[in-house]
Amino acid sequence: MDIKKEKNGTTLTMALSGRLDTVAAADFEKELNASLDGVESLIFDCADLTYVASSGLRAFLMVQKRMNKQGKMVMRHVQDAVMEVLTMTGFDDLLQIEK
Amino acid sequence: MKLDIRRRMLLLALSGSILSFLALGLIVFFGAAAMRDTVMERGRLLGVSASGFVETFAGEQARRRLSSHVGDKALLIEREFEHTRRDAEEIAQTMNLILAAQGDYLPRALPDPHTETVASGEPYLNMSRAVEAGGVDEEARRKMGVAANIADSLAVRNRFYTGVFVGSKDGWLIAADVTKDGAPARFSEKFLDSYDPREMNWYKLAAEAGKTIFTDLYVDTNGTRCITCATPFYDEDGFAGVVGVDCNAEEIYQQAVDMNSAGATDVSFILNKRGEILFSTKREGTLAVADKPRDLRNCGDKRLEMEASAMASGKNDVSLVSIDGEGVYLAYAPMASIGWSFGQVIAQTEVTYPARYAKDNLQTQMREFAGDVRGNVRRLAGVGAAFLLLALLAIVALSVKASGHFVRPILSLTEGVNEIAQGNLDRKLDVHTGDEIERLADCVNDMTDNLKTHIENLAKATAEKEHIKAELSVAQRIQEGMLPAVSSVLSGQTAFDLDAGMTPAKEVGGDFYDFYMLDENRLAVAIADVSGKGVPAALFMVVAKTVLENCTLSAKPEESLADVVARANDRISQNNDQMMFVTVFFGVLDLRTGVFDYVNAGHNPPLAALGGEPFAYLVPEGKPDKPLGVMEGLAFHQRSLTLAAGDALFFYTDGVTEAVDEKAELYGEGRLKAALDREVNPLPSMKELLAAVRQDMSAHVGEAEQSDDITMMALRYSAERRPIA
Repeated sequence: MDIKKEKNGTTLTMALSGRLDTVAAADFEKELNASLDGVESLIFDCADLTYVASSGLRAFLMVQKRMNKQGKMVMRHVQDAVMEVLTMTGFDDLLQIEK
Repeated sequence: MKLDIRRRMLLLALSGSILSFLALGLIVFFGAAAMRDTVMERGRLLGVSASGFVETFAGEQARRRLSSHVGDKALLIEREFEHTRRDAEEIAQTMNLILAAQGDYLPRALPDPHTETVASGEPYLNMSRAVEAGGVDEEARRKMGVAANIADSLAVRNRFYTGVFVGSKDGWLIAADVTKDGAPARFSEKFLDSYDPREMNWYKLAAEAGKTIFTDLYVDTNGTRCITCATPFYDEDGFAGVVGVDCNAEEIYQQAVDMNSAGATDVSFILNKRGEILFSTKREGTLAVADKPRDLRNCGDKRLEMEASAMASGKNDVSLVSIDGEGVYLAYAPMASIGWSFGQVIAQTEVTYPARYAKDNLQTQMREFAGDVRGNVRRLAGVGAAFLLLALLAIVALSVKASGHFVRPILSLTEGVNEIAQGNLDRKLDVHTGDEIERLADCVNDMTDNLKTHIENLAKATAEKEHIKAELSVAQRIQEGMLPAVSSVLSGQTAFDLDAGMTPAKEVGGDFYDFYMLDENRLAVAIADVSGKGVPAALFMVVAKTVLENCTLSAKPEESLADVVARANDRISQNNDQMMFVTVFFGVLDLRTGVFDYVNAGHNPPLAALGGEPFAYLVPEGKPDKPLGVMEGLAFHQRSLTLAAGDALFFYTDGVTEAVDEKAELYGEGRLKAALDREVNPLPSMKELLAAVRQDMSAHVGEAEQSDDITMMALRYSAERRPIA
């Protein structure tokens, strides 16, 4: 999976592409832990994100939990396949998703 | 085959030095050859020009010498004749004085050759019979006697003089004759009787000219070739007679010839105004004195004729002519007073001999010099070749030694590296050449050190990994042990058929399934998928499985299944900082009624084949419930389904639908349903059903690596309850 970051003040936009599987999720988690200090608005651009494994869901859940404390988190342009997983697991309630 | 470094260095050194030597040799050789050629050419030119110069110079010298020779000789002869003239004129003067002052002189008697003996050089007086017969008066006798006083002046002053005399217009002659042998003069009577000076050629010429003249060459009575210098004298009446001096011209000429010689081949001659040769050292040929006088100006040789004309007209020159077929230098100088020209001839070969000698000598020397140069060049080449050979040998020896010196550390390096490669990492390369090879050796030593450290670390890490692997293996067995055996619920009953299986992606997985009898009529089944994989997932799975089972088993009668799941979720969610979660499908089947109550906590919907129809996904209406562990206090929805005998349910985790083939294409829900539907009529045993699905999956996946746990479970309701024993 590729992550492209773009920081604008306290707003961090991360463009995710590829498969967020178990291996990628570990890197993703590390990347998030290193990038989120002082970020008040985190935006995930998921236009090119094709697959999210349960580890990925857990990572999203963790970052949502953290961002709930220091600002807000939004997922954008989520593909249908990923959205299906989010819906099936009820995560669409837990994560803030913008269509 | 490639050459090794040693041979290559050797080759390099050798070829380099041979090339430079060859270049040097070629330069020296061509330089020497060019020098030799230049020297030879220069030498030849020098010889040619020097010999030319010498030839010209010698020729010029010869001409000058010749010119000077003939000048000297002509001058010598002329001086003699000049003396004669002076002598004659002096006598004439004396005669003039005597005759002018006749009163001062007493008549004097001189010997009469008719009657007296006359010594050589002694003056005498002679009168021809004719004159005597003509009558000589007293006055005439007195006058003759006075004139006889000239006798004292007639002393012979010069060895060339053969006679000094005074001829009177009166016919008498006073003379002093010199005999060859010094004996008294002997006169023939006839001569004395007939001799009248006035009839003599010399007398006539001088009387006619009225001044001093020289006669032509004539042969006197003694056979001597003479000329006579004659000059008139005078008395008070005018012309009174002629004074004559005979000179031996031949002797004068001979004196000049003898003075010095121009060369071995030279010829001296005297030419008169008429082109006749008077004297010559040559006895025959063109330049010899002819019996009958002939004019050289008409000799037939144009060139010689021209020169003869020049001589006859009193010119002075040196020229190259051909006489009697021989090339000669002809030099001549005039004797103006007597109108002669002194000529000298010398062979051209004699003149050019010094030049030719010098030229030959020079050329010989040049040839010797060229020979020396050639020899030296040859010697130089020989010495050069020998030196080259020696130098090459030295270079070969040095190169062998040097290349050995260069290659030795490399060989030592190679040997050391070989030993290291054999596994002796404690081997240190010991090279101290101070160059690239030492640096290479240092690098190899560093590398060996690093390698050693790395290998040690790797060994440690491998040991740790092995340890972990062993532990994981134990954990896997423990996890497997935690999954129930199918036999535990199937044995002793016929109300349902059930099979389940899990293929973990790693040693320990996050999936699990569970089934157990809540009481004799109720069967609980669960399938779950923990987020993530590996040890954390396995640990969480244990917690989730245990908590769910505990909550189920400890459920109060009034609690619904949803309540139980909610309670389990609360328990799992507590202290879940890592936000692990687990999707769970949990159901309870009443074997008596076939009612199947279930809760789906975020799990993949199972498939159900009801009433002989194909399988269909149990997609709940409304929003699905969330996985367990996400947050506390969640409410879950309980749903229900009534199974008839023969109806079947198929549960799975996303490892099934999300299994990918080599092109990353998902196995997907469509393929799963199709695989199940192929088995619907009639349904096989649940074990066979799972096997069919697994086989269909492997056909799709092929060689692709398994990325997630694959867990399946199948349940069929039979409704045939066996009485409890």
